[in-house]
Amino acid sequence: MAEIKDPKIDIELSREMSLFHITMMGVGMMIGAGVFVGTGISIGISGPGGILLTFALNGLIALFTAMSYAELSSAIPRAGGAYNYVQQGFGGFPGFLAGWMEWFASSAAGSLYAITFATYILHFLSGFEALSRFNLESDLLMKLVALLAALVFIYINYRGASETGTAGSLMAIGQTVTLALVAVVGVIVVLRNPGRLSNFTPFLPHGWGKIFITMGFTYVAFEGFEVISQTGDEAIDPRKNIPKAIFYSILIVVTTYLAVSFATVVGIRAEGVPVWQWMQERGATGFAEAVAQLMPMGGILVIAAVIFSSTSALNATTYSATRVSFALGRDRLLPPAVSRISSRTKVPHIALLLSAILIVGMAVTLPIEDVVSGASIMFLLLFFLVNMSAIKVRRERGDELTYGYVMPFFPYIPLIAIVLQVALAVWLVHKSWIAWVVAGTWILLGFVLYMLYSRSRGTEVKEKISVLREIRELVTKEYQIMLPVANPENAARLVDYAGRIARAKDGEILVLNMVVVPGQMPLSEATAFVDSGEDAIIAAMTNAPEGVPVHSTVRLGRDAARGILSGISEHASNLVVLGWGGSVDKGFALGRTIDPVIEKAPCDSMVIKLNANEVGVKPKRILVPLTYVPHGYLALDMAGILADEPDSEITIMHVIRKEVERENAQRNMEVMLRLLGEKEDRGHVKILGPGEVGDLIVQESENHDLIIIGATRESGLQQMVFGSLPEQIAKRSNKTVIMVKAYTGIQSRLRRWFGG
Amino acid sequence: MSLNHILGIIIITIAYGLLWYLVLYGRRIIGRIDDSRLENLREIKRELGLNKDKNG
Repeated sequence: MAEIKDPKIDIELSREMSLFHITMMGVGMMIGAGVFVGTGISIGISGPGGILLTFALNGLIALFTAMSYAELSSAIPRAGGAYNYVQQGFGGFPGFLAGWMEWFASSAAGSLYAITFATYILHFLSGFEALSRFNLESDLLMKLVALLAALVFIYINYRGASETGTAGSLMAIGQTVTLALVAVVGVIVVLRNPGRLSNFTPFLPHGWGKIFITMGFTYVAFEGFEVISQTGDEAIDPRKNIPKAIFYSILIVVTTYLAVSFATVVGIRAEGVPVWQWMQERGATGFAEAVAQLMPMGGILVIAAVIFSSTSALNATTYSATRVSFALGRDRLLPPAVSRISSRTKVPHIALLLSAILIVGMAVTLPIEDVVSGASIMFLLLFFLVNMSAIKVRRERGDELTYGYVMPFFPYIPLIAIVLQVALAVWLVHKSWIAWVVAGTWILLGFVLYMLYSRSRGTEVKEKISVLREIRELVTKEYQIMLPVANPENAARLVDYAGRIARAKDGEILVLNMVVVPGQMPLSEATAFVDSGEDAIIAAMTNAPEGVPVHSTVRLGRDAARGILSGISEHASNLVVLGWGGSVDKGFALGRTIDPVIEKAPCDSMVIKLNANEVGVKPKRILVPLTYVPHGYLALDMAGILADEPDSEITIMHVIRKEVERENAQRNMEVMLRLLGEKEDRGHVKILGPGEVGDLIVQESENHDLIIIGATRESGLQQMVFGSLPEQIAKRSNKTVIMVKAYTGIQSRLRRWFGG
Repeated sequence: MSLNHILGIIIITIAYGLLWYLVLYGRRIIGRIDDSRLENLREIKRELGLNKDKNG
C-alpha cells in the first residue's frame, strides 16, 4: 500500500488483485487472437514442425524479456509498464519513444482483436444454410463488423464501465480450459491412431528460415506480461506477485500453445494434401476448421472461445492504449489536452478518442496479417528498450532500489533478448513490408514530434519512484472500526455510533472514503479525484467523540465494495460500519456496495439506517428483536454499548409462533439479559405473538427510538444479505435501525481463490 | 523420421526445458527474498550468490 500526497489524510491504493487475478489477466491477454489467428497462418508458412519450434523458441525469448520485466516491476511497482521502465532507465527521447511505441502496439493489438472477432463471427454465421447465399466472408463486411466491434468497446470504455477482476479471470480460465480440452483430445486421437503423426511430415516444408518469420509474426501472442506489469498500483504485494504472475503466465501459455498446435496438426484430415498447404488455403480460420475435424462440436467451441477472448482482449488493449497516451499527455510529451479527464465519466476522453482513431484506422485499412505483423514489430522494438532499461537501471540505480526479484546471468539474458528481438523484428519484413512501412512511419513521426514539441516541454518523471513509499502502520489499538463514508451529513452521524462502540471497546476508528477510478486511469494518477471525498472525511473526523483515536484515509480503487473489503483485510479491522440511505439499488437487497461488503466482510458488520428526524445519538429506548446466534449476541452486545444514557432501557423481544411457547421463551430471553453485561439491569424481556413477526416488530418499534437486529440466516444469494426479516424491518420502520452480522469464519477456499 | 524431425524435437525439448528451469529458478529467488531483512540489491545478490558482476 502506498501513501502519495498528504501525510495527514493518507491516500491508499486499493490493492484488490491477487496473484491469481494478475496471472489470469496475462494469460487472458496472451491466449487471445495470437494463437487463434497465428496458428493457422503460421502452419501455412513454416509447416507443422515450424509451429512447434515457433512457440517453443518464442516462449524462451519472451521469457528472457519477461525476466527483465519481472526485475523492473519488482523494483518499480507502479503502473505504466514499459513506458515507466524506459523513463526510469533513460528518460529523454527513449522514454518518449517507449510510450509512443507502446501506444501504437496496444492500438494495433486492439485492431487485431477487432478483426479477429469479425473474422470468426462471420465464419460462424456463414456456416448456417439460410445465410449461405450471402457472401459473409467478404473483406468489406469483415471490416464493417470489426469497425462496429471496436466502436462498441470504445463506447463502453468511454462510459467508464469495466469488467471485474473475477469476471476477467473466469473468462481467461474458460479460454485456457477450452484449449486444454483441445490438447487432451489431440493426445487421445494420436494414442488411438498413431498414423496421425504422419501429419508432421514434411516437418519443415520450406526450411528453417521460415521459422524466424513465424516467430516474429506470432510474437504479439506473448505480450501479456506487459499488461501484468501495468498492475503495479493494484496488485497485492506487487514486488513478489508481479514477477511470479509474469513467470506463471508465460509457462501456462507456452505449454498451452505447444499442446494446442500439436493437437491442431494431428486433428487435420487433409486427404493427401500436406498439412501446411491445407492450412495455407484456410488462413486465419484454419485453426477452427482443424479443431472441427479433431473433435465433435470443436468448431463451435473454438469460435465461442475466440469471440469471448477477442472481446475481452479488445477491451483490455483499449484500456492500455488509453492509459499510455494519457501518461504521455500528463508528462507533457504530448499536448496536455490528451490527459484531460471527463468530469462526467472520469475517463481521459481525449486519450481514449485518439486511441480509438488508431484502433479503428488500422482495423479498417490494413489486412489482418499486416496488423499482426505491425503489432509484433512494435512490441519487439518496445521490449528491446525495456531490456536495455533493465541493464541500465540495475547498473546505475540497483543499490538504491528494493528488488523483489533479480534475474540470474545478468546482463547476458537481456543482451540475448535484445539481439534476438531486433533480428525477429527486422526479419518480419519478409512477411509484411507494409507493417514495417507503417511502424517506421510511426517511429519517424514520433521523432519529429519529440524534436519539435516534446523535448522542450516534457517533465522529468524519475523522481516519482520515491513518491510511492510504504504507508505507515495505521493501527494503534487492538480493536478497529472501519467507517466508509461518502456523504458529509451522514458521516457526522455515523461516526457518533462508531465512536461510542470504539470507546467501549477501547478501540479506534478508521474513516475511509472510497474513490472509484475508471480502468483507463492508473490509480496513482487519480489523486485529482481525491478532493471529492475529503468533505465526508472531515465531517466524520470533526464529529468523532472525544478521546477516540480517529485515522482517515482516501482509498483509490476500481470498485467501491472491493476496495472496502480489501481495506478491511489490510487494516485487520474488527467491525465495519456502513450507512444506508433507505433506497434500494435494482437487483440488490440494500445496495450495490453494501451487499457485497456485508456478504464477504472478514469481520463483524453493521448497517445503520438513520432516522431522518433524529438529531444526535441519544437512544433511550432500544429494541432488540432476538434473532439467531451469533448475530443476536452481537446485537445485544451493541445494544449494551449504545444504551449509555442514564435512563436508557433495552427491550429484548421475541415473537412466539404458538401460545405454548410463551413460558419457555420468557425463561430463555431472561438468560439473554446477561449478555448486556453491566447494563443487565436496564434490560427487560417482552414476548409477543403469536402473530406475523415483521408486523409485530414494526408495531413495537413505534415505542422505541432505536432498533438493533441481527442477521437471521447465513447469506449466500444477493437477496439474503441479512435475511429477509432485518431488511423488512429496516425498510418499513421509520426509526433508526441497526442491522448487525457477526463474522462467522473464513470463507471457503474456492471462494477466496476466485474472489481474491 | 528425418534429420529435421530429430533436430526439431531436440530444440523444442531444450527450449521448453530451459523455460521451466528459468521459471522455477525465478520462483525460488522470489521465495527467498524477505522484505524485512533485505533492503537492496547488494544484499539480495549476496544472499543468492549472484554477486559476480562489478556492481555486486
